[in-house]
This record gives sequence, C-alpha cells and structure tokens, in this order.
Amino acid sequence: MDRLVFLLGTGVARGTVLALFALSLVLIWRATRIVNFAAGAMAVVGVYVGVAVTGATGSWWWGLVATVVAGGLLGFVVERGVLRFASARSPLSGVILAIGLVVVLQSLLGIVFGQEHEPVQPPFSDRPLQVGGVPLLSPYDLFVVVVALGLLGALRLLFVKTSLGLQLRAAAFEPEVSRLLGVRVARMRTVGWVLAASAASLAALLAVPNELGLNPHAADMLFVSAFTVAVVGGLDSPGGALLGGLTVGVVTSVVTGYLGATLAPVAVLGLLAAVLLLRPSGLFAQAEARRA
Amino acid sequence: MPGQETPAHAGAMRLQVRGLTVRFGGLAALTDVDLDVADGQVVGLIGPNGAGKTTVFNAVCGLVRPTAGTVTVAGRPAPRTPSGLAPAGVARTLQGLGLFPGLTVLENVEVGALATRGGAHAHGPDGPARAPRSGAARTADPGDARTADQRDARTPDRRDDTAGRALRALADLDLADRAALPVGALPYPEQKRVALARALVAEPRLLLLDEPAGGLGAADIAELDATVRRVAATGCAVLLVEHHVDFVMELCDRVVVLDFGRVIADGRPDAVRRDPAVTAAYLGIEVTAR
Repeated sequence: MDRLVFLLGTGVARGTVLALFALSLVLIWRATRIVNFAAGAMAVVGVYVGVAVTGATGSWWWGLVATVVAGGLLGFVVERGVLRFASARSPLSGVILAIGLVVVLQSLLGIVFGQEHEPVQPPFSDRPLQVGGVPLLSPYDLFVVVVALGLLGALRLLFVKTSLGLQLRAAAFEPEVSRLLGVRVARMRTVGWVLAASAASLAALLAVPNELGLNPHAADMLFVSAFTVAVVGGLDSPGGALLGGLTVGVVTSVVTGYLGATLAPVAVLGLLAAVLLLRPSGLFAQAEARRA
Repeated sequence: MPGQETPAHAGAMRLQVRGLTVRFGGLAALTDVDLDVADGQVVGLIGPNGAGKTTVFNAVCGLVRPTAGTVTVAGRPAPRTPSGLAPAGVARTLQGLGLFPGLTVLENVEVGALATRGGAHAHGPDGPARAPRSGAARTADPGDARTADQRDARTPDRRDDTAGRALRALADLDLADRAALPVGALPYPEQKRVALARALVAEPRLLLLDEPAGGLGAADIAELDATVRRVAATGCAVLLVEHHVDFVMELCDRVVVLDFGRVIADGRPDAVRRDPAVTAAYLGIEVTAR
C-alpha cells in the first residue's frame, strides 16, 4: 500500500511534466495542424543551453531562464525558417520536415556535446519525504508539480483572459476569417510556436534529473509519452493534456514499480494503440472539437 | 452609368470600383466592373449564381488581386491584404456564418473589435457606425450621424475595453443575454446576428454583407432590414450581396446587377426591376418563381 501511494505520487509528478510537454504539442497542432515530431529534439537543445548556463553561472535558476529563452528562440527560428514552408495541402509535409529537423538537431548536438549521458543534478533533494511514515514525493518532485501546474495555469490565463490569447485561439480555429477581421495570423502562429517550444524545453529540463542524464536523445521517451498524452487527451484539447498527462504519468509509474522499468514504454505505447483504436479523437476531447 | 442614380441625400463616395477585371487563369470572373457606394447609402449587388458577386467582395477585401482596374475606399487605394481592412474602416460578413465555433458569443464579437482598439481607424472626421437603438428614422443627411453617436473614451490594449464594446454591439442586436454561451449553441438566425455584430463592433464606414438574409425567415429578415437601415443612418456605406430579391429591392437605394462578370444594370430598384436586360438575365425567372 505504501508502495502504491509512493508510485501514485511519483506518477502525478511525472504526469504534470508530461502534461506540460503535451500542451506544447497541442498548441502547435491547434495553430498549424502539424504534429511537432521535432518537439523532443528542440527541447533538448534548450536543456543543453540551460545546463551550460548553470555550469557557467553556478545558478540552476539562471539555467532555467536560459532554457526557456533558448527554447522560445529555437521555436521562433524553426517556425519562421522551416515549418512555415510546410504545405497546407499535405499533412505529411510538416511531419517530414519535423523529422528531418530531429535528425539535424540531434546530429549537431552529438557532434558538439558527444553521445554520453551527462548526469544532471536536481536543484533540490530527490529523496522522498516521509509523510506519516510513508515515503511520498521528494522536494524536487513537489517543485516540479508546482512549476508545471503553475505554468499550465498561466498559459490558461493567457489564452482565456488576454486579447493575445483570444487572437491565438481565433487564428487557430479559423485562420481565414481571423485574417479578414484584422488578426495577424502569421504572427499568431509564430507566437504559438515560441510559447510551445518554451514550455517543452522547460518540461524537458524538469524531467532530465529523473532520467539517465542529458544526451541528444534525452527527450525521446519524453516525447513519445507526451505524444501519447496528447492523443489520449485529444490533440485539440489543452484540458485533455493535463488529464492525459496524469493518466500516462500514473500508468508509467505504476508499471515501472510493479512490473519493471523496461515494460513502462511498452505500457505507454499499448495505451496509445488502444486509444487510437477505440477513441481516436481522445478520451477527453470536447464534443465541439474543431473541424480538421 | 455608375453614380448616375445616386440619391441626392448620399454623402461622399466611400467605395469606388473602376474598370475592375479579375481573371482566374483563362476564365474572366469580372470584366470592367464599375461600382460606387456613397456614405449612408445601401447598394445591393445581385445576379445569378457565378455572376461574380463574391469576387467583387474578395477584390475589395484584398483576397483577390485584380487583373486590371482600381478599388478605392474613401479615395485611398483599398488595402492590399485583409489585415488592412479594419484599420481602413471596412468590415465584412461572410456567406453562411464564418464564426469561431470554439469561442463564446462574446469572444466571437471581441475578435472583431481587436483590430480597432483605441479607435485607430483611418476614419477621418466621420463618426463610427454603431447602430444606435433609438435612431429608428433614417437621417436625411449622413453628416448628422457624427452627433448621433458619441465615440466612447477608450484606452488602447485593454481587454476590458474590447469586451465592453463587444457587449454593446451584442446589446444593439438584442443578444446581450447570449454573451457567455458557446456560439454553436445558438439557433441559426441568432448566430447570423452574432456575425453581424462582429462586423459592426469594428465601427466600419463601409460594411460588406455577403448574403445576410441567407437562411433567415420573414421576421428575421424584417429585423435585418431595420438593422441595416439604422447602420446606414449613421453614415456607414453598405454593400450587400443577396439572392433574396424582394429584400434587396425593399432595402437598397441602388441595385447593381452582375451577369457573367459584367454589370448589366445599375440604378434605383424599380428601374432595375423593369430593365429588360435584367429580366432576361435573371429577375424574370427569379421573381415569378417566388
């Protein structure tokens, strides 16, 4: 029982990070109808920058800021420089460009930093706190939950309460109509990519201390899990990203705890396959999902 | 021919189209079209399906590049891209609805208000074209419209401000109590009014209505007629494309008839109705069928 409680706690912590990463995929899907297969590789670039800045300044916090900024900049460059040229007529075009980007980014990182796993220390202890004799979350897990939920909340406020958010949603729903109403759709698309890439980089930075360490492929599994999250929650649904994130996080954690870590990716992919077979629009998709 | 039948009460020219020709590949969608809409005037653009009515709108909106000819709004060249429309004081509704299905009624209208935050129109000295609830009678001189409508003090870039304007635009069309609903939950005629409110919230000086009566019943059409008259009374120029001929003949100061991309008649509704060329091309069949 204690073990289950601990696994659930860890699963929730991992789930919030997955939710943040999945939200990045959802934002880009909504705005451009592209599944950003390069999200993992892009996020790792941000983490490398952050780790380098932490090494140079000695402050993990400056590293965090640098990760977010570098992720956003890369999002800008990738949208303006590469994926803007994806054909709107073929869904494959964006996917192929994104996969090409993965190869380029991961090769460049490998050339510059090598393929070794570089351990990344968390800024707080990752030993679980005992609550009533039961090991629960570590201070670092708690920090991750707070930051991820805080950012999800902030993004929600941005989208629901500000005129920028209204324009982002309008441009995502009906780009042609938005343009007639004076919304600068191309600019909104870029803003969406910058926000999404920043969020994914931050999610990857938060996740890395709990993984093997940093290498060019460090976010690959994170991406696969987050993609599952986005599909489970509904690619069109930001709220679904949170619920899907918690689901996948808990499933991963419980499978790892009881059946072994090697089975966790299988469980995630099994869940992905099951959802795609039974409810391809997602378990938590709104009924009013936009026409594709 | 254009402008010849312009009623004496009309104000300055808001929209001038001269020699507009649009070709898609080898197909001539529009050939040498002339069209004028003055401030405070309601002009109907009719014609059989495929006559080029919507292409005229698209050319005015910068969605279609003219092969030849000019389009000017208030004496200036029409915006080359749609994002320049709202600042130039032009608003357009779309065939069908063109609403944002995932947004609330209020948010839908707010998007229309964003481009004119702070009232940064190139309006010149004219007032905005909100339809005041009280001003039922059509003003003879659109110059009076300025006094009929006070521009609200606004602070730029505040969402409160655009929300306030959107709420007022909804109230003007009796939709205030629908503001918080998802737009898809409304019956079609009300959604149609939301689309109209979204155009009016930008306080346009030129309003382009693409089939505003499409799918509406008699009561809703009567209400639409009154709304368009109120808007025109504030000095706003209105150009509408419509298949509902009775509605057009009743409402419009002038009617322009397109057939195969050419203007075949332009004049007062009664004159156009009697025009043999029009009867042959379009109205004879259409009117007797109703």
